[in-house]
Amino acid sequence: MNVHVKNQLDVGAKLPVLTKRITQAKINAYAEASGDFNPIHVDEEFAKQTPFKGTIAHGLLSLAYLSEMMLSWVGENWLSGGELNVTFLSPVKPGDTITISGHVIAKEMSNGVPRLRVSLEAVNQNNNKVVAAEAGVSLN
Amino acid sequence: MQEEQNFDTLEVGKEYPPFSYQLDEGSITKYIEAVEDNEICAIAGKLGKKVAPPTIASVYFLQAFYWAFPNRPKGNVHAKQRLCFCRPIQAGDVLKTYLKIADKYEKKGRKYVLIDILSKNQLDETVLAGLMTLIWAR
Repeated sequence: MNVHVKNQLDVGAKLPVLTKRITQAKINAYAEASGDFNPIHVDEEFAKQTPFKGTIAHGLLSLAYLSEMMLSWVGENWLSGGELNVTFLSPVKPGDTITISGHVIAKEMSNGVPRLRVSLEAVNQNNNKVVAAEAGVSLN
Repeated sequence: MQEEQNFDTLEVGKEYPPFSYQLDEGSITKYIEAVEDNEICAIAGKLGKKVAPPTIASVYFLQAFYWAFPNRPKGNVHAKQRLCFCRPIQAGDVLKTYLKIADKYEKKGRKYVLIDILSKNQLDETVLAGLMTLIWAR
């Protein structure tokens, strides 16, 4: 655990904000890496005919960004004991800029080890919430 | 053509055969580039091994899902996702992902299907546990 985190364990402490710009190229790269070529993500002509009126990013791409934020904050603790509960609220589209923020909502002791609960959210450039989440992590 | 796997045909408690995948350095690199995760590279350097972002397991449970539900209706929506990362995933690991229908219910005219996810490595150690909530199209 890094010193930065040790100093910010209190309830209410804010996590460093993470911003991501979404592009079709990034969505395509995620499709390549994941094998998820659902046309709603990668076929603009198909996606125009759907209620979304265009392609949307994979929900699991947004989830990966949340995980990156937690990893950045707590380091390798996240790899063995991190927990993420995510609700996908609105589609994320090419051209969107999403900003992920979070704060500590609880600090508990579990088997003598401090465990934090963190509230996370991602909003787009219009300040519409696209993802809501809660994370938990033990700090060894 | 096989019958569509619509909501009424899904059996709560049904388990599906494991889906296996061997993780190599190339697939980890490709995933890291796709999700732009620079943090994991720093941790990999510190640990001295090619560890992957823990969310890489989501790639394989999604593949497992597609494999288990080849005749799912079009238009399902991924509504919620719970993931517990139990241990680091690294190059050379062989992940086996098990899926089970945990529950299904209807609420406000929507059909919800909950799927338990469990991924184990070649040592039979759990690397990831989770729960996927989908709104089933019909």
